Amino acid sequence: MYFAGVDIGSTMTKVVIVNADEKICSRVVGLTGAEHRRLANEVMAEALKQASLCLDEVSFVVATGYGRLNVPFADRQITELSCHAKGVSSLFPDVRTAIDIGGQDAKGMKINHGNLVDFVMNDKCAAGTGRFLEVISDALGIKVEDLGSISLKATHKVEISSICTVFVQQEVVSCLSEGTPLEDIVAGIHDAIASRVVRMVKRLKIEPSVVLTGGVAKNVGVVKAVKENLGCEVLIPVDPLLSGAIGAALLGKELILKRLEKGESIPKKERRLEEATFFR
Amino acid sequence: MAWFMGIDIGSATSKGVITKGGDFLAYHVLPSGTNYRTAAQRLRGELLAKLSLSPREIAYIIATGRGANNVLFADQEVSDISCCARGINSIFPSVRTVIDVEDQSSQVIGVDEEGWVTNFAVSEKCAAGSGRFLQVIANVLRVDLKDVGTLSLRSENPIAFTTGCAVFGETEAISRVAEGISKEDILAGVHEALADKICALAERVGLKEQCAISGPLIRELIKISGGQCSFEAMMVF
Repeated sequence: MYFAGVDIGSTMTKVVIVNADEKICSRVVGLTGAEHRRLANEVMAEALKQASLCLDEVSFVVATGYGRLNVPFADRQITELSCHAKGVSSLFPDVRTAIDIGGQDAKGMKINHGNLVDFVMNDKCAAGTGRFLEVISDALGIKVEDLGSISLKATHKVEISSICTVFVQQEVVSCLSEGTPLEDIVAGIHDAIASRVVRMVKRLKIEPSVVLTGGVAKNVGVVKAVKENLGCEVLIPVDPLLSGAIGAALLGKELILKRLEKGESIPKKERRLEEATFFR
Repeated sequence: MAWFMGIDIGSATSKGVITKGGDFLAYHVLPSGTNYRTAAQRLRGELLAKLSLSPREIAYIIATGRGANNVLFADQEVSDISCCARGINSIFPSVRTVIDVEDQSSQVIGVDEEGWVTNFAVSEKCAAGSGRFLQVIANVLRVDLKDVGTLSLRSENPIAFTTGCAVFGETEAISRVAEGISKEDILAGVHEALADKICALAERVGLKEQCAISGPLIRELIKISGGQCSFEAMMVF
């Protein structure tokens, strides 16, 4: 038996397929793209190919994330908070606090044995999300994926006084024109995003160990700044983007096993790998 | 009778006035640029030239605004909140609430009969609560900032912005353009979103009639508001 998790984020679409032993058979990350949500079927097709499976061999498909309603081939939608909690616990069974910084939001989650106990979330303000780094790297004329390595060369950290992404953008441009070294500005930016996210997550009572996930966790500079702001060690999954999709696949497996235990049959849905209609 | 000067160095524009005996005799507005000190110097030069005065003839100079500490020739600095309240009071004595929408901040100020501040609330952390939100969306739509007000009034179906963030709002405006929504409807939506934020601020202060709006975005008021803060500056002392 195989189970798929499809996590449609604002920036990236992630698909994970696991087998009955919870071993990952395929993992694919694709751009969500401007054509939004429509590409879920392509990413899914790629994941099936990687695992040499056809869609009918997958017992259950769970969709999660921002675009979860636009996955026509999904059997069930589950919120990303539950999926993240599950996915993170499967990777780090002892974890009590998870922080996810995505392309357009940030979440803090308290987890107990794979279950979500409490959470805080920001999807209202671009500061403290991946978008902040995108806008600022654009203003600085560097690639967002280079921010991490650049910041590690910093000797000082610029104090960023604004909160709003729009004002910080202007602030970094004036820092540049004053001749402040780029790496010091980038280090300041990482501290700004980390302190904002950590301040939010501290509304939950943070208990170690802490895991950081989401695309922003790939940035070593942000990871370092989050550690400094939290004052404790931070664990990073090998592939920090996938925890939501992994959790979705595992929750699908749990649902099916519960049904089988009760002697119910696995629901058979007519699924086709088709495009979602826009904003269905 | 003595001459007084008020200099208001804002984040986008610098405003200055000269008064004598309570009359508002000269004003000048120029972009603040990147060097506030230069802007302040130029402003003083322009103002003095208008009335053919020498710097020594000015009895007292008050500086206000974000860049007030760059006005090296000022005798005193006064907060922009106090200056705005007194400036409005001198123009509209019956006004009890001032809504001041600036490029990077918004403030709602309660004013008493004498022009003193009774209470106030400021939004300066978020671009979506300031004039900058309009600028961001105007850039997306390739519309000049001075036209956004007029265009928005032509809207028949203002869109509702689902976000309260200027950065996310920018993305939303781009999506609406892609869907074929008119500039007018998008602009009307931004104005409503900004007005919502400002109204929330006004509720915190408690809105008392009459109400005045000031700031560089109020195009019709631009000349008056340009002078207001600085005009106030001289009346404070």
